[in-house]
Amino acid sequence: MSTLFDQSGEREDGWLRVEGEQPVPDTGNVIVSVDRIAEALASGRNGKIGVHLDPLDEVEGIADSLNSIALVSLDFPSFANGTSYSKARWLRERHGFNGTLRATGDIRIDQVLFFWRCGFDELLVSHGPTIEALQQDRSPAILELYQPALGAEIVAGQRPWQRRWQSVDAQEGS
Amino acid sequence: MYRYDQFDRDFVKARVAQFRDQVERRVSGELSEDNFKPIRLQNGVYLQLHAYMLRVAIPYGTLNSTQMRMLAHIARKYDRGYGHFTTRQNIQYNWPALSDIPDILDDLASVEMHAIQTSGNCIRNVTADHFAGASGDEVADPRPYAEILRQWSTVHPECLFLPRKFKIAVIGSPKDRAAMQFHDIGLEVRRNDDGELGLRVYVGGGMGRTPMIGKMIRDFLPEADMLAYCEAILRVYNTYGRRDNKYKARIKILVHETGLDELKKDVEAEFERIRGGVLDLPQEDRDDIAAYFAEPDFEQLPAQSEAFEKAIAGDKGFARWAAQNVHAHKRDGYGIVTIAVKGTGEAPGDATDAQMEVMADLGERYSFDELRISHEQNVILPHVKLDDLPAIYATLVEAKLAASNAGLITDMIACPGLDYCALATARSIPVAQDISKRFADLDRQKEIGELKLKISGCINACGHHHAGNIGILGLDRRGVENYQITLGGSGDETAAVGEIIGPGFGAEQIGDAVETLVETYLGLRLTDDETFLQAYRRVGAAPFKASLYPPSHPKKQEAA
Repeated sequence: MSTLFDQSGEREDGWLRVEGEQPVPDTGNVIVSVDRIAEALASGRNGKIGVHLDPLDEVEGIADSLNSIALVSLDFPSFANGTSYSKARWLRERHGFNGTLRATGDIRIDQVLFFWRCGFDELLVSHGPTIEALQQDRSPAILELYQPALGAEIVAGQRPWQRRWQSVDAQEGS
Repeated sequence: MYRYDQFDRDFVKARVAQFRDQVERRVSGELSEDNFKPIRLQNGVYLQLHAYMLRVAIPYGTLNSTQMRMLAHIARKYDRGYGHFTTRQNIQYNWPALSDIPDILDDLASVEMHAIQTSGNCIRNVTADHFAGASGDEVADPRPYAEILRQWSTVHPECLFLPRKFKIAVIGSPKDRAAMQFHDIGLEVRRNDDGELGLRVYVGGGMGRTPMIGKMIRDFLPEADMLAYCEAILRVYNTYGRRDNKYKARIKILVHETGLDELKKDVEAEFERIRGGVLDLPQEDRDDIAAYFAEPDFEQLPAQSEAFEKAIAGDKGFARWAAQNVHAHKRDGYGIVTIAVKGTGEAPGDATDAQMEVMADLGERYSFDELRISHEQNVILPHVKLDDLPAIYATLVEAKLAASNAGLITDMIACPGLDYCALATARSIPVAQDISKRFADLDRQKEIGELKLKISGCINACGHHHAGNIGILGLDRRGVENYQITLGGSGDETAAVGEIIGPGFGAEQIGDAVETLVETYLGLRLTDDETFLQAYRRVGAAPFKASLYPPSHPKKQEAA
């Protein structure tokens, strides 16, 4: 069972992933694969549309439709395949996507901060120990950051490239 | 030298605490090896043939005596009394217990060192010219650039799970002493026609099973844009680099398959988008980092040293060592000492704790408290007075560190090979030891002259065999070690990949084969000054082939 988390903790998943040749339901929020995005967008259905990209699906393939897409889901088939970190940054920074960015796949607790820093909003986690750690708010992340990226970072240290991560509590307090 | 500020200290301390917790969870069984592996790799911990191995970063090869003593302490307390200096200016310990590693990292942190990103598919320790700040041919010290890159690449959230490892080298002079063009990104600090400092950028160099010389992607990059440009390269690589085959995953393959022009278009487009933004490096901050590497307080000395000349005249051993292992310094009256960690019959790059202590003492006393590790697995004293050389030599002799072979055939590079490494297909160290003994006679070595011999125990080429004038690659042929020879490789500014000369040789024959190559060279060189590489480039492989595989020995050829 996968569990959805954002930076505040566990939350309900309001999206249905439509896989393979399954029909796209007429209502509700759905996530479809890249090759079905045109079909979903043209269907005039009721509900938001998201798209799921596998590591080999290029961001450019959906660039023209991003205004109509509410969520992009990027897959990490293995923790070691980090190509989607960069894709998230392309989406956010080059294409200006400001819908929801979701990560799926082999997500481990020790990497959670990297997702937030590359522009992801939420993680659909299947790895048991990671779910447990996130539920208990146990993240081993280091808050000193040596490079500017995305997310809740503030200028820190003495160098222009240094940052410090703001925890959710601090973010809400500010 | 760079010194940690509070931010660096907080970071490294947090990192050690994080890893301590992770190790405890591994030792207790809560973390499986599968879950632990990505964590340990990013902290320099490998699981080798017999034990865990810890690789400690020595950023751009620069360290002080306190740090060198700590490396000795770790060898003594947690290992078997020695460490192995690597071709990436790191040190490896082959026998630490996993449960001790957090303590080792704490010890390292106390002297501003770490093992972060010394393995894994991330940006590795940034290397630089080991003569940085000391050599007269330098345009600018490359280390401030390397330090900024070290910081920027540390736990870069986008660059920790790249298709493959990623290595960056920086040089600051036209002479390449860091094999810069064999790196994923190679940077050469230079001035443009207007006298401004900037970088020439190479991309896609590498060794491994598909060796490539880096291609120039930018002739001149303003200093302020260094991070933006590197980040653009990394982003393009992480997006388009292959992940279906680990042997095709390095950026060199992407450059090769995509073509430099096409790749450059992507890189430049991303660079144009992000330049002048948050990654911009203001002059003030560049100066601030450069100030850490300011020149030491050199004395005004005469170019000639009486004590030095006297020792040369009176001691043949000293004279030979000085001629071979002391290089010209940019300042009169000073020299750069190469301590060859290549004693006869020793494993290249292996130093005992006692030897490390001796080198630390020498660095503290005679070299403004500075030492360097070279990619050729030697230790450098970058700033020593010529007057002090006799005393330094005497100390090195006593510590068995006075091999007078810098740049000669026994100043080899060799990887740990099958004696330690889980990836190796053949042993490297015994081959190195055999060659070291065969050519132990220094007069003979000097007669042969400059010759870079490099040995790798597998196709991954950690021993840089592709860049060897003579390269030796150990393979496994149906359970038998077989050594393939390449000729004509070079890791300097005339970088070249060596060419396979013919069928390989067994462990018993490889030493003879090297002797044959050397004899052939001596027989055909035009003058005593024509180096092996020059001669090879002049005559090509044919004469060497003819002597290695004479028609009267058809059996050797059958081995193909």
